[in-house]
Amino acid sequence: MAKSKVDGLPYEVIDDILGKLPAKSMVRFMCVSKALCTNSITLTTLQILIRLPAESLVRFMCLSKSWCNLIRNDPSFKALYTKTNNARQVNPRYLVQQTDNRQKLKNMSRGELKELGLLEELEERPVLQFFSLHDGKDLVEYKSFGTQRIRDPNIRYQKPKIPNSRSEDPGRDVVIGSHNGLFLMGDFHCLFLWNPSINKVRTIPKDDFPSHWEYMTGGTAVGFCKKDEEDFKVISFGAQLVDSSNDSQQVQEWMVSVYSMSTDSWKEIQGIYIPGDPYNNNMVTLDGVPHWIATSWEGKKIIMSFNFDKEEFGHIMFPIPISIEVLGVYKGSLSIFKWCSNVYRDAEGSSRADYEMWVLREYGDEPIWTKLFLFQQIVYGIPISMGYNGEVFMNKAHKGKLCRLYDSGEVREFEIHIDKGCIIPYRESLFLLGV
Amino acid sequence: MSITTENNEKMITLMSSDGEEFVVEEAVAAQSQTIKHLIEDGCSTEGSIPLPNVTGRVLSEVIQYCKKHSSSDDKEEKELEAWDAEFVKAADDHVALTDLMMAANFLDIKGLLDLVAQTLANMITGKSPEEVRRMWNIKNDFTPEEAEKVRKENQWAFE
Repeated sequence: MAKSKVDGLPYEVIDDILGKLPAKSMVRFMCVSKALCTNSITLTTLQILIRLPAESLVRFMCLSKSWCNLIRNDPSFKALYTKTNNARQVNPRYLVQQTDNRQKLKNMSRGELKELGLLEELEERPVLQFFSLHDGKDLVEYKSFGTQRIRDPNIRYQKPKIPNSRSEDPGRDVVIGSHNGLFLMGDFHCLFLWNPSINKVRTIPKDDFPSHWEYMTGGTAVGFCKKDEEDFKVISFGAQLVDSSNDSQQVQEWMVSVYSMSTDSWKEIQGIYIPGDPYNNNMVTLDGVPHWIATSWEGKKIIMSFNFDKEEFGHIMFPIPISIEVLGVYKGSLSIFKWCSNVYRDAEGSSRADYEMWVLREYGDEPIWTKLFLFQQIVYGIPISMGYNGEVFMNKAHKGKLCRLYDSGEVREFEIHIDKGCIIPYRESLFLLGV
Repeated sequence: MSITTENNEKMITLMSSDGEEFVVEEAVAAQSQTIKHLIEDGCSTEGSIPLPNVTGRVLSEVIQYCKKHSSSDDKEEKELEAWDAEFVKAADDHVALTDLMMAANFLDIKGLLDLVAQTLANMITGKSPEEVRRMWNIKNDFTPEEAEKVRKENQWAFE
């Protein structure tokens, strides 16, 4: 009997496997992809593909029609790829955004910069660097971009700025947020979604920008509804300053708008309760729901969230007071890494302090927080970001250097210099491919 | 048939597609979810368990893996990792690895499937589409115009 060869893999098993596997496995594999039934991509091929870097997948789209269809057009493959990458602990990636020096140059015109010989430097200088973790130890840079390369060519490059009335810190002035391998980026002249792993940009129409955008305090974030993880949504909310007759008084009117990729438009949501005013530089999205550290109207620090399914805000109290903290995701749970002691000097004169890591075990009216780790006598620094596997990046006091804490308590320093900027963990995904 | 050894380990017999028989401890064979379910369903009480998709050569490798992984506990994680690395290296080429992976898939041995699939993925990560086509004998069913279009869409990935 001639063995059927599907896509070249000696594959006599599709019937055999599906017919003879225990029903449980069968069901599990059947729901993996429509392509399994209708296309000639095999289970074994699929097992290899979901473990490839996104760049290789994009290249392999031109292997054959069935590979192309699966990689580019099959939503269940994209979902499976994201899920696999999210579950894996190997090869975490980080995007580092450098914003130093640009502040000084922001007021100069292109002509002035050219005269000073700075134009080229400014344009060539990588502002976004990508790092991956090698052997669980060293961060290795594997690519970098100048911002202008990823921009929509129709949009003129401008010094990006996120309206944030509270602080001058440009920490997130290009990258606003990220989820499932997509970055929400922009300033108040443009806003776009970017998947760096496959080099795809989706511009969010600016004609439609929420009217409060330019006056915003509030926040902006990316997420999705549970029912359609490929339809990315953006929430933007803030207070519009309304001039009243008396110049000294300004009335704040809060507005909330949600953008949906499927309809490619913004809609205003009226009459919903906003629990507080978030710190824009401390936001993470977990399972489609963005979370911010925020100040409640009573002046307390809270975690607030926005649920795209219900189109409502929620808030979570933290059991003890927090200051100098960072919000993150630890092994699938919302977590907080916080400073918890006085700073003191050790024998060598370096500042040290204790830190704790907490995770949110259960949402609900009575949230359950668990203190997972206590890091004692760590070199003092400002926590700026958390990775997905319990790593914390700290900006060492005034040196602009990073160190990484492991959940084992080990501390390792890095040679990434960030004066002003941020480091964001991400995982590769295929979203925006074929859209 | 069920045999019991001196130290009271229950043994079962697996038969490969080419008729080779392997007698292994039940605990070793049960690393395979497929076999475990067959045992639970009482299929191992009479005669040997036939595995029509796995040749004797591949099955002996699979058993080698299962033996190692059923005798090691978590403390030996580092050693086990090194052993795994040697194990896939010994499988030599992508044809042998593909056979091994199909067996791991059929037998539902998660650890082995992960290991071999990742090895194969690493093997093709940096390859060109032409190389992968040659490797697995995949037919290019694009017309030259279609191929050019797909390539142009994502030119950066080829640079």
